[in-house]
Amino acid sequence: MNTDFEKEAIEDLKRRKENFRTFTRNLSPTEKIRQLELLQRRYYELLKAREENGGRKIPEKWRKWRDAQNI
Amino acid sequence: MKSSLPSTNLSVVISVLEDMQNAEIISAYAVGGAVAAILHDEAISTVDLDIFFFLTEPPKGLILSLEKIYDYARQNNFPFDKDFINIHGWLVQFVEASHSPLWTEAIETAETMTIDNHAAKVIDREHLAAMWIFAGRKKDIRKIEMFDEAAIMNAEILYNVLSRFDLLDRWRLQQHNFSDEYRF
Repeated sequence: MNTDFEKEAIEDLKRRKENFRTFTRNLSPTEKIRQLELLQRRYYELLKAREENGGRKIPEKWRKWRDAQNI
Repeated sequence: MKSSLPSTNLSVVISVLEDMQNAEIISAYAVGGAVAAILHDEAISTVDLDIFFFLTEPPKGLILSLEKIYDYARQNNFPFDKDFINIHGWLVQFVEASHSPLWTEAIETAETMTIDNHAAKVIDREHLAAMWIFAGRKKDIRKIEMFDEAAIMNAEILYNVLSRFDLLDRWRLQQHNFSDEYRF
């Protein structure tokens, strides 16, 4: 069973996530595309780290993305 | 909040699409798929850019040839394979839309959004939702849920699109995932 502290921490995390989502939803189309481009780079880094640590290989379409980006 | 990041390459892709229109290869286009979802709502992870379009010269018969698109890619040194054309780092999937009444209307009613001072055509939310319910994959339903959560679809317009394209039954199979506003 969660303690009051844990419940409060979870509520706080939910609140912060919701605030961030509200912020991203209100960005201009240009800023949203910039967010996507950042997200793609971060996501690729995660996939790469997973593969380097013995996990699943980077999916083919993300390899193509890497090649298209000249990374 | 002002970003210090450089301009997005998507505006360069939009310029390429405009050039393809000027060269009379395509007559109209609209951004669809996850990138359209992002433009209407919030950033989610996606790797490709779906462009729904009409060829200027409509396809004759049942076999669709995208050879003019590939010729254009060759002439402009855009690498391509069977899945994507790489336009300035974006993996673009071209989807010819004329054989689908829903996709046709989605292009014809697309909204105009400004991206880095370029006017880009983007499929509207209700047509996107109809296209996703038709496709029916888990990731499509998740995108509808995302729109639902953000309450950004017009229920009346959505109902109208779904009924005209005979998609209400498919919608009803999934609507337990959506809020009351979008249960028909």
